Amino acid sequence: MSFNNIDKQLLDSLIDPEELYQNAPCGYLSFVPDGTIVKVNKTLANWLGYSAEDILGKMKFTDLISKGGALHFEMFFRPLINVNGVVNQLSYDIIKKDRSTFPVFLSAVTSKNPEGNVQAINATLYDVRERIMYEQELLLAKKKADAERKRFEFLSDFNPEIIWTASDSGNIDYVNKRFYQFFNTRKFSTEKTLSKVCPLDRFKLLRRWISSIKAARTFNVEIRLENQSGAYEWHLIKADIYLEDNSAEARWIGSCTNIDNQVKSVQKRDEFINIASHELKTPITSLKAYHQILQRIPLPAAAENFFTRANTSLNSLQFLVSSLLDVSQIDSGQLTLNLSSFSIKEVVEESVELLGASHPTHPIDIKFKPDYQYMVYADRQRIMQVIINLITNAIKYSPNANRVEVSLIRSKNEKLVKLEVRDFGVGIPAGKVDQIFEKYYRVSDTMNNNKASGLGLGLYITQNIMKQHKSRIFVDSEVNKGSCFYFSLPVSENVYKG
Amino acid sequence: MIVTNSISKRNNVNMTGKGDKVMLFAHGFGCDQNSWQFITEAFEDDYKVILFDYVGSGKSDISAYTSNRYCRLEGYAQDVLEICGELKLKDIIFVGHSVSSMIGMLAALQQPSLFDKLVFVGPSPRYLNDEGYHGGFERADLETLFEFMDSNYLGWSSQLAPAIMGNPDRPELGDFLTNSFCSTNPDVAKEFARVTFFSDSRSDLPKLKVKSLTLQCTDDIIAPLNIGAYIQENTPFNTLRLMEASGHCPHISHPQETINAIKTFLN
Repeated sequence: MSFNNIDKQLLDSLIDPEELYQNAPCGYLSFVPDGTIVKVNKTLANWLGYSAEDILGKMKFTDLISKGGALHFEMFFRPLINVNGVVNQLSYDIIKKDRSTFPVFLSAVTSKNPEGNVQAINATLYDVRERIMYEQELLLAKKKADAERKRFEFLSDFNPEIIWTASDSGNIDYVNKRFYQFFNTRKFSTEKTLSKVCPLDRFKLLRRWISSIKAARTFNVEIRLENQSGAYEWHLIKADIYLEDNSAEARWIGSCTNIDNQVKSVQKRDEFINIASHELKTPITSLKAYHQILQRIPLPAAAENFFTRANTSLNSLQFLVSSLLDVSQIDSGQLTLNLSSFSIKEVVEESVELLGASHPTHPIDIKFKPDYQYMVYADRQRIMQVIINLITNAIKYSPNANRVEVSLIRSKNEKLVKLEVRDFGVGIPAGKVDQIFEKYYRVSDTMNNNKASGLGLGLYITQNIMKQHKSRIFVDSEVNKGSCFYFSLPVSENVYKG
Repeated sequence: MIVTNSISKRNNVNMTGKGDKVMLFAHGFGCDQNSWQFITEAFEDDYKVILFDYVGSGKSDISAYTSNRYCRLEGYAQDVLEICGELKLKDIIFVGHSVSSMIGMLAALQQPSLFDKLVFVGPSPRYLNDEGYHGGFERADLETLFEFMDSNYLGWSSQLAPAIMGNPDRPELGDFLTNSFCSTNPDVAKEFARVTFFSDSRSDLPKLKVKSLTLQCTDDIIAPLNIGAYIQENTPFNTLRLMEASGHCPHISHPQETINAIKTFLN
């Protein structure tokens, strides 16, 4: 049945204007210019608690509102509707028969006679009890949010550090008072702030910030900022992402801490160590020379023992000083490599031979294919230093074990050689793995009565040697089961199979 | 004709009409000179009709508003006197609606020679009830009016939205439908309301030397019937005219009756 064929009578019968008027979800009210109500729908009469007969011709619109409301009606509503013919969304409290009130929004239009005189005013009233309730909740929530924001701002202003926040796209949208004090400004501007970053650090800062935003990862960078007297001071800038809830956009909260004193004292320490180790090197070299001369002179038998001990101490001292010199070189970026093609297998064998004699408790198992030379292109001496360090550590941190394993493994495509040093000792807790490569970091193992000794430089130096080779040392470790330190080097072009 | 002198500019003075005799129309609280639009034409043949807005209302220069000056009706009376002074008006017919009736009276007490006749439309010397005096309102009634004004000056949407959206500045009035046919700064309106409704000019009525007419509406909640009688009893040379018009703005709701009543008095 097409739409055109539908009986018009049927369509008309679907709409009952009287029914719509009487039972509309809003109140309808008509009154003549003096306010006397002449028409009211059932909905409104029900809201008011009156019958239509109680109202019509007997009550005025102003009887339904408070005296203040009536004043408003006279002074604003009536002139307005007389002039404009319409009022919109006036908010009134309507008084019911039982004298209780409820809030409505009232809109009204005039009905004029052909001469243009107002005959009646038709008003529509919406019950807004629920709406007002929600509005109050909304305002309350807004108030709470404002209070929270104020609390945050107060706390952040109270903080001696610079605190800032940024949107998930990285635009800084809040800085605390300390920021304005430090930069002596009243307004935040990205350009101006960047201009206060030491030019040498600007690129680093931006690169780290952009990559942190992209990866949504913790941001952490040390840069120099120009202070008000024009000098640069080191600052640590940190930021982390936080989510208010799952639907909200991620936001950054960051800080900027003055670490100038720490950085400068670390620099002073490094400088001191650098100078001290250089100064120590010369007398040690002399001592070594005298020792060698003494070796050629016949000594009483009783002196032999002391002579050997003196040599051991002298070697330890030389090792410590050379470690410190290595660190100085690394820190000043002067660690250079003497590259050549050599068999890492031979280096492993030499290292094991060297260490085996002094560590009889831990036999060292070497695992590799005997017919393969494992040629690599690297700094032979430095790689040996790395291997010796890893094996020494393996022995040191497995006091109750009776062996250490060193393996050489070719990668499937034969392009890399992997060297593994495995011990069966105390292992490293997961949280500490990253720290062991830090400078001066020493394992504090109370269960082990701090048996570990040394300067805490070994792994720092070896890691940096490998970094210089564009490689890296990795660790797999399990507490009380042991650790496996390994690194890979590219196979040399100059490869030959034995 | 728009007058561009300083006071005239400040008070947005407008003049029409062919006559020599001046009729100065002063709007009431919450209005501006637009409220006279239905009756002024009837006087243009015989009079020079001058319309103005009080400072703070309509298109007046809002920057001239200071609470210090306009915290009393005398401040508004000063506007009237300054307009007369700048335009060199004399012997004028002053027509004041609502609170402007008493403002006109205060001006006439200060400089009686400027005024020939005063017409009070819906006047009241005091809105608050007092011992032996029925003004029509208790203080609490007026406080509810002030609340109403706050919540109804602009439509609902303009009320809550800025509060929620945290827009501290008032939105441009033009952006919303205002529930006032005259443009009045809402903050000024609030002060004007207090000055109006808490004023008491009863003691000044007996001092008036200028002839005056009171147009009293039959059912005016703001100025009840007894007020017209009170003014007549206490004011020398006052005529009381009871109108059929109901409400507080007969010049808007019943313009013809208002015109007739004024003309009868003037002739």
